Amino acid sequence: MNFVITIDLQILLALCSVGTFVYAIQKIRKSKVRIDDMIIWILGSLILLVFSLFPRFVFWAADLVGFIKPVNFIVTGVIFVLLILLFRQAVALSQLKERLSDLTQEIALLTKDLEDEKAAVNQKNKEF
Amino acid sequence: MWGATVIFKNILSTWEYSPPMRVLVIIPAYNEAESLVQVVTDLKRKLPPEGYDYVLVNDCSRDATAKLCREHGFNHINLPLNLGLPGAMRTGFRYAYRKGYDVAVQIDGDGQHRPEYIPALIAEIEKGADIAIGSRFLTHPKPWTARMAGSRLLAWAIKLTTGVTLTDPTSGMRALNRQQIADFANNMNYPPQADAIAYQIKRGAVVREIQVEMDDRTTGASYFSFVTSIKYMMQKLTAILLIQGFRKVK
Repeated sequence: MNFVITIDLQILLALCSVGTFVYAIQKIRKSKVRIDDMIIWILGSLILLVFSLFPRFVFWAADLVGFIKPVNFIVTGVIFVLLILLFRQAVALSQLKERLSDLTQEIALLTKDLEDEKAAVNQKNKEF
Repeated sequence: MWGATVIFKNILSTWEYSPPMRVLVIIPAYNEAESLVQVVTDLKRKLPPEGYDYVLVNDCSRDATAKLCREHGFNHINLPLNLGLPGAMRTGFRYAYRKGYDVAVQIDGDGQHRPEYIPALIAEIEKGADIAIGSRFLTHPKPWTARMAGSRLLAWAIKLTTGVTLTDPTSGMRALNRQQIADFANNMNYPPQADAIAYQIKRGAVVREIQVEMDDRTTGASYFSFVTSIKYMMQKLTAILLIQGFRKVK
């Protein structure tokens, strides 16, 4: 079996992973994002970097799972991880929607209480 | 002698004074400025003065709804963001729950639900129903129109999953008792729609229907266009047939 991954792909992968890593770190440095939410991206980019620097590992893993071409293994793996991330995003988004709705309703109810209170006080003052 | 006192006590307990139910009529309103004043004055005129309150939930309307409410001194809640019908109704249920109402009635802000049927809904709740629904087709036949095809599908799905026949599952005119108010106010995934009703039936809620008449909407636009109707039906059917069965029953 041919144990060489094309050098182009290797460089592309390495650049992408380094780029992702730097971008995520930049966002954290500028306080644009919560560290907890970036950890998956930091780790993911590091893993991709390892893959691109040591393709032998990819060959071994691809062979283990039964992929004929290591590239296919990487692409499939990335898609799989992306799907998981997407699903988690959908869940998080749904929770955010619910919380936003809750907050909106609470604000509306509080405002209502406040205005009722004010009206009652005004009424009392008038009676005096 | 002792027997007589027991009998006397039993008679007393059946005559025990029960305070009348406190009813809150919830009117969700989104851009209903044209019909709003008419609907609320009609409601105030036709309901018994004792025990009935109402609250208008203004779903962040872009028209004069908020201004009209203030000017006319209507009891109203202004949502700072547009939440859609489920969010507006849930605000109403929260309000009803916190103010300790025994029954919450939902009617539309466009005047298609007639307030004279509300006491009949309350009567069903008093007789022990958890949810009372104003149905257009309990005794009247359901027409064979495209809209009613959706209604039939929903009714079929509910019948299939719960065994209960609802003749008008898309009716937006319902009354909920105290327990149902708590459920709808405090939990996620309780839209004031057919799928939540089906879920409550599975949880043991007793649902009764009464025959009502509804008027066609005269002003304003419905939350539903043709496309959103289709989408709504798909969502509700999927929810009833494929999802609600997996939810916890207790």
